[in-house]
Amino acid sequence: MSHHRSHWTALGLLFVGSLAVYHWLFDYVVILQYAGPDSFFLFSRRFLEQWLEFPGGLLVYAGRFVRQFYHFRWLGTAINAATITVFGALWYLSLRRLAQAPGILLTLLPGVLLMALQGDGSDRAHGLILACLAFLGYLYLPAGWPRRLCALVATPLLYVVLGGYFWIFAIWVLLTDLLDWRTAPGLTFRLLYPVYSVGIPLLAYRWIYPVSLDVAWLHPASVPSSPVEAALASCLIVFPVAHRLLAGTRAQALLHTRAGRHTQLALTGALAALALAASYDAGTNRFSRYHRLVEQRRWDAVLELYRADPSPSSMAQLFANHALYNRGELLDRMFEYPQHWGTEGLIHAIDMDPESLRLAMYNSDLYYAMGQISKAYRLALNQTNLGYSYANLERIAACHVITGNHRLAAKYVRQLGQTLFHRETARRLAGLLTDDATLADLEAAGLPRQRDTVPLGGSRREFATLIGLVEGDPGNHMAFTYLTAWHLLDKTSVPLIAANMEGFRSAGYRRIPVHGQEALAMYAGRTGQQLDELIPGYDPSIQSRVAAFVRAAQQHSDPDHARRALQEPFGSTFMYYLWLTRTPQNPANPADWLLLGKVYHAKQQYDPALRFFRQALRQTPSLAEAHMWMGSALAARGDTAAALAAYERAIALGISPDERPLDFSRQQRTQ
Amino acid sequence: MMAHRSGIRQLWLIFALLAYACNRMPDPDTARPAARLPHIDPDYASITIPPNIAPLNFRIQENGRNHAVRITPSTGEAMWIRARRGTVRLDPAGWRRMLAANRGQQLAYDIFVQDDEGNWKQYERIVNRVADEPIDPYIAFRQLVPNPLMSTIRGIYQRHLESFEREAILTLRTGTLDCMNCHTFHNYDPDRFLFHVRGRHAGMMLVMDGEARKIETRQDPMFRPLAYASWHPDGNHIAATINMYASHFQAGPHQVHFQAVEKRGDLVVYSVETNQISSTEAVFGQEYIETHPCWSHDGRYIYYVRCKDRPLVSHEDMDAFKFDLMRVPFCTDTGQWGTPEMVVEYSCLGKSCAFPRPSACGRYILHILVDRGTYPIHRTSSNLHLLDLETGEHTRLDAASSDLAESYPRWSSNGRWFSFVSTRRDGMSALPYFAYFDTAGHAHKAFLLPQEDPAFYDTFTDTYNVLELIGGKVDKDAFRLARAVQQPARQASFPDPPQVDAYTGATWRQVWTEMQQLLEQERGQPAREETDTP
Repeated sequence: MSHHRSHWTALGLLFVGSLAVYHWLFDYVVILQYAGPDSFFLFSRRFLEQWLEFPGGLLVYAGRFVRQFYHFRWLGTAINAATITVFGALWYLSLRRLAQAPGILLTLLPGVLLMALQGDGSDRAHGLILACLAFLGYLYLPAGWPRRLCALVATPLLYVVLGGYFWIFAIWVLLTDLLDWRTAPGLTFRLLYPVYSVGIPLLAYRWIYPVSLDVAWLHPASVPSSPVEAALASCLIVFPVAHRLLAGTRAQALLHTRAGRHTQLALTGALAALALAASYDAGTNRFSRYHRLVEQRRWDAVLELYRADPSPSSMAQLFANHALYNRGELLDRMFEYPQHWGTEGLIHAIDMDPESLRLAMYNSDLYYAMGQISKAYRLALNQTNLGYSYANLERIAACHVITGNHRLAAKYVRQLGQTLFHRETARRLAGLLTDDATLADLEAAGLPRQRDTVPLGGSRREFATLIGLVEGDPGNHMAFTYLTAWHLLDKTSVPLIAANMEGFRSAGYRRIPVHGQEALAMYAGRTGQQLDELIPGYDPSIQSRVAAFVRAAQQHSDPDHARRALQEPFGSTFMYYLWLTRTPQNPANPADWLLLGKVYHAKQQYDPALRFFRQALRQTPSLAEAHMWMGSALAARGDTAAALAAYERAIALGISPDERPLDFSRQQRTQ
Repeated sequence: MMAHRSGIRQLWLIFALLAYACNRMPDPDTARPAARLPHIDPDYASITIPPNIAPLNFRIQENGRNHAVRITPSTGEAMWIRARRGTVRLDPAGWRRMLAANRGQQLAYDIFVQDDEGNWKQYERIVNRVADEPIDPYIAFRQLVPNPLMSTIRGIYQRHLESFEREAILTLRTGTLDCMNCHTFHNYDPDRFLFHVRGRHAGMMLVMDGEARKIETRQDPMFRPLAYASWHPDGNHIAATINMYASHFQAGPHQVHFQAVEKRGDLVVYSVETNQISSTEAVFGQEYIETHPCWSHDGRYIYYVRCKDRPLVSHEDMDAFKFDLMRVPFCTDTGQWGTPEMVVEYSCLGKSCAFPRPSACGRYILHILVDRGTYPIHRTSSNLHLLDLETGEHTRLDAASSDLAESYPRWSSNGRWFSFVSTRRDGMSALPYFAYFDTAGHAHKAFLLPQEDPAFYDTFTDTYNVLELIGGKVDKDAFRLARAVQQPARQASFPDPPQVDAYTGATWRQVWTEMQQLLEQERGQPAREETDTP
């Protein structure tokens, strides 16, 4: 009895330990899983039906059902701890049914390893609990045919429900039956049961499930890919056998001595520490903290975290810059924070791979705030390729409300209404759809205003979108601020700030922000322009600091040496522009001038377009594309001779009519 | 003991009274008339329906405590349905009997709504007509998630139109296939069809004579796979296009869908017997983009759409891609191509033609007209049109069209029905619609594919694509089909290719690379390669 009590005490400790681990160490599990599509759950028949199309789908469905409660972080933590403890208890009871009381190590270690593995968000714990439960039921039957009959019936059912986790049950059954060879002979079962078990996924693959063979074989389980996973798999297979073989031996008696128990506890603790250390992901943990702080709009805390971040990622930089914007300090203080990653730290270029798509909603948030609803919608829609999440579903619904597609909005709102914890949001959006008065004033209802953009393109998508937003609405403060920050981070685009000073006033700035002044002062130094002409109301102290920096920089011929020497006295701001003191010519990127030219070309404002094309060609006379566009603009203005000359230059610079069936050469022929 | 029995009897009585009260139907004589038609969803008012259609379940969208419907057929007893929460679910057996007894006659729907005071209101009568001619009993369709950048294809499915039974013909078998499309049946025969597989295991799958064979059609000078296939009535020749399209999301504020334009297209005919491909310079050159081929009813012509190729350097350039309706004679005996003939020069009218479908009688061409390109499902300007080859008149089928997009029209085998997909319900999901086409050449109001749960489409976010009517159930083992797809393909031969540098031919790599670069630069979006249906 005392063994029994000590084991339950140990399981209690496992629960408390799990609570602590998931509250402090692995809190990112709950936060990030809930934010992504992995926790999305709908109370609808159609949602259920999609999980019936592959083995183990019900397990995944059940996992999602449970994970929707991660909506409350404390509840998610408790659920995780309880799941692990339930598994530990079932495991312990199974071991007890196999033989006498097992040792503490045997009882606790699988649970501890599972605790360390839960961070990957798999359905492993639920699969193991159900396999354990089935096995426990099997053990409660008398050895011999009742158990075997039970195994034969339960195995295919478990395959349907658990998918690949049914192997755990099948292996335990087979091993138990083999160990019972003295009391319950039955060679036929022992030979046929493995064949039967192997045959189930094969038959299911052939007749039931439209899945590939590897999915039919294992899904949603997977082959162990980490030492902790391998250790857990080994424990699950070896421990029942070892426990049974040790039963009644002196070795097992030693496990239950006081010293034996202490040793096992110590060993379990040490192994737990090792497993947790191996599974802990500091980067993901930090990311989840950013996520939570941004969600709570605690901008000061975001910046504090970013400042303490030893190796900030571009996503962390994005969070920090977003926080700076919300504090109204992006262009005044951004270089007080690490900006090592270029423009990615403002808006990410989201690809269609799953990892990128997981981050798509952060970009969507930014565009949503800027009023570029179309792009915010598109990013949310793209993320649905991974599946719906509460965030992307809500965003899609809101975007349709804003853009006026109310039937489509209603469709997504209805789906949101089928969730457990987002019905209030659904009700709010549905209320907007039925109330014409509110619909007329969406901003009052807490939705952003859709801003006009000009249709344009550009080799750098986000840059082009920012330009489009500012062109469409010069008063779009956020878009203008981000565009200016983009120019600063892009370095080569600094002259564009000088070319667009009017924009600051349109965006509501009363003075040129500090970083803008610094960059322009640096730029003026290179181009010989007068600073007071360039910057209205510039701060003389900035100019003197810039001048001091330029003088100091000129003393170092080697850029790396200069960087090391100047970092301490001048800080990051000027370090970022160190290269400006080194470039021999006008540093503006011709591609940017070209892009600006295209913007005006698209707006059929050919004079400014030509000015920017010429600017691009001044820097890179061999830029064939600029000649081509200049030809197009000249042709549109009716200057055919000049247009043809520009086209000819483009051809001379390598645009061959034979190789370019899409190009302007046909236009030329027809003119 | 007696008291106990009496108690039970009282309970029964209360229960019976409650049940009666709950199921009490309105009295039409005392119901107050409402001088308008009721709102029902889906809109099944004033339509002509096939005598073999599944129950048209619907919802009454009128506020009230109780709802009831009386369906009075021209022949037979009226059917009363109590609509719980306004949802009308018809008894399938009773519905079938009613339709069978009323072919060519009418069904009258009287809808009653009880207000909070207990008074019944009767709306104006909805009258539907049951046609004499049945519709083909099955549809085959592709279902996908309508995200144009990376659509997730769920699979090719079939649906029994006489019931709500739906099953997969071919799914992606998770991890086995990447993409499949353009399933096409020969003469509505469910045992004889083809579909294309893209990505891994790419090829054209021909399912006929109880077996599935895989054909590889790509070869010098034709590096693109076939798409938009159409079977000749003889079952031995397949017309198809070899196409590429360019697509992008416009950076405007109001767009939801992406924009696409067919940038390449050449016609070929594949012979099933000889495993050979043939073409002619007139439909396989650089000057024109040819696509959407379809055989005429007698198999003498291939109808298709054609557009002069143009530079595509800006978004506005897409507007110039307007396709004309063409036809080209093809002799299946000799394999000889004739000279392409202009049927209607729609580009002169500022329109673009897509998906021409000659009728079974040969007199009409059902097709789509849109403002540009051949992807009408993304254009709200797209509408169903009918060309009368005898009179040369083309008319918009107003009764079947809507303010939003229509696409992919198909005739039924008897020519009295046609199907199409439309985004009219929400502007995004393309859903299947059917309409009656009477002997006078008029299209009737279209109706939405009925579902067992009339609220089905409220949360349905997928889209229907490539909707084909078929004469029976495709009884093919999905597993065997999937296995056949993984087999090596037989190489089709192209014995006498036209001596032209087809866009879809030798220079396609250059073309595509450049298209990607240009579009990426111009639109700020990476253009992507797609083969046929976006």
